[in-house]
Amino acid sequence: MMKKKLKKILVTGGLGFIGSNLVDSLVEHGHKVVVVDRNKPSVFKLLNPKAKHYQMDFGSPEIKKILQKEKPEVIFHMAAQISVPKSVADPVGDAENNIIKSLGLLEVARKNGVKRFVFASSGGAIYGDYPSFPTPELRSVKPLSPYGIGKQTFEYYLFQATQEHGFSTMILRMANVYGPRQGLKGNSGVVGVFCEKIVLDEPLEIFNQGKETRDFLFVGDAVAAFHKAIDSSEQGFVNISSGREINIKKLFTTLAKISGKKVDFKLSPPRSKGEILRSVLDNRLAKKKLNWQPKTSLEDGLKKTYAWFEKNKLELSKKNR
Amino acid sequence: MKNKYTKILVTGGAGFIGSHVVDLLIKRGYKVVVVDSMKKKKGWLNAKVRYYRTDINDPGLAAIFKKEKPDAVFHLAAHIEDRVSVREPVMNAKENILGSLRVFEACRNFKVKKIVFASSGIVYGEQKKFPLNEKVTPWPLTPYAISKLVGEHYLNFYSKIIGVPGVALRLANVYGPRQDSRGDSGVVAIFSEKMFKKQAVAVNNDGKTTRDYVYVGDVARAFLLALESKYEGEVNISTGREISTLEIFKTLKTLTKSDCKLIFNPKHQDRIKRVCLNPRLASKTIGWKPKISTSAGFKATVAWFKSRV
Repeated sequence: MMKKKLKKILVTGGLGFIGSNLVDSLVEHGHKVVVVDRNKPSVFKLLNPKAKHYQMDFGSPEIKKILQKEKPEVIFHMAAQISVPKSVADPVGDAENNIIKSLGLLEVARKNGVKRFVFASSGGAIYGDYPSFPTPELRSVKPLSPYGIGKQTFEYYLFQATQEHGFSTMILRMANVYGPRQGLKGNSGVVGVFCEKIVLDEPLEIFNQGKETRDFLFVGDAVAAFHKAIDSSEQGFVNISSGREINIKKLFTTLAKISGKKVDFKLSPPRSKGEILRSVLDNRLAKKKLNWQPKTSLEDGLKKTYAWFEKNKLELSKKNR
Repeated sequence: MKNKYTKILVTGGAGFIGSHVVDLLIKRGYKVVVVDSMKKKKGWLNAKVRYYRTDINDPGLAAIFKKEKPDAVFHLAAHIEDRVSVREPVMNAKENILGSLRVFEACRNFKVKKIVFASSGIVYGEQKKFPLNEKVTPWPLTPYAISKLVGEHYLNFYSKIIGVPGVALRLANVYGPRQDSRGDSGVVAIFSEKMFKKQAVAVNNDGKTTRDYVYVGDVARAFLLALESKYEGEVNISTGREISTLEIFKTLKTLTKSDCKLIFNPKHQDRIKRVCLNPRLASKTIGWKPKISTSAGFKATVAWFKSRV
């Protein structure tokens, strides 16, 4: 087996859902990890003890000093405003965080010795209702939400930095990532919401009769893609997805079965205008460029996810009180 | 024809293109409110407008909308220096992306019925097949170009999801009276002025770079037609004719009767070698076609620069 080079990696949003799973895995593989996250470590113990945590916003001017001190070779930029409805209500706030601050980080990284910048983008939100399924890596589309626009915009800046300055960048357009630790701050994807409600025996609501489809990718598979992106010399974007299209009703019945509970639910009309009806991403390019493929079946992924929510039932029940 | 809208707010209404748009609005009987920071220049403000010296990023913008209640907004205010945007992308993004969003948000909050946005043909980046139509996938190469394309994307969101109809005009290289000759674009303005001042003129590389030049008077008409049309989306505003920098030099030299020297600057390469935008969709959707011939447009421009020397 080829020995992997160990690197120093800075992860923004390293206390978040995907970020914390990523940090654990990086540490496990022997990389040195610096986390920049404005949050304090919570009761869910998401901060890996071997990672160094700077509790600050990645958009703070202090970030320059941290880069000069820590000298990371790679940045994984995970921190973001992640709520689509919030972006619709406050597009300026979303753009300030996801575009302006990200662009500031990119500039500082480029000028302070960072060798590679990997960005967690969003396939579903960027492609919107683009009428081709599974959706391939489209260069430029018209996303339906300000959140999707913001993600695509930062992609443009990454491309520009690569073309203009030769800065090495990679964009992972993620499908709907789910797994342990999802949605602890309230703005969660549907798997997190369902797991929490089922575990706490609360009634749940299925919007648009459960007809909407999504491409659910287990967080462990998503994390593996970031590993592949470290040493790859590829530039540009790839979809990171399961390539499977599942409707919400099916997701619900699978989860309900795993829980072994009789779940109280109601079917509701669509949540809002601009909600994406179908989403499934073609992942063949990721195989070609990164030698990455998803490995976890939906059933296995949901079991692991549900088990985590079950284990943290007590903390979850206190969270909102 | 009766105007569907009465009061139009124009951001950047004291600038080169904005002032021509404002003049035409006034001539056609619209009430006009101008919001312009007039940061760098004294501007070309029509005396019949209500003027607010405000930057679109100032918190005071909402109060202006609240007070004036415009029916429609023409959004032209922007940081337009492409080369500066490469050095200072964050500044450019704040001015153009956040600035546009703040204008669009004000439109959403104060029930504006129509937005016409000054985008640019620069969003297409480097392409191979010409003339470019609106279906070509844009690929912006500079932060300025990115900011214009992103403005279009947000406008599309306000149009489709929020319900404020919007049109983005992808302007070709606009030239005409009042163009700033100090910038790094605007070759017609730069050359005209230098010729009258008897200075030498420099072209990048071999001078064979082509652009699609459209006269500012035609562009002003496009804003008004877009306003009164039902079309929503992007549309090229161009002539569909490619002219090389060298050709411009020769034409202007004849018009100004100058014996001005031409210097080739082989170190300065133009990243985008050719631009030519197909104007057919504009004719179909908003009923716009360029009316001013290149020679008439150049003559008018030269006459204006002559009067200023």
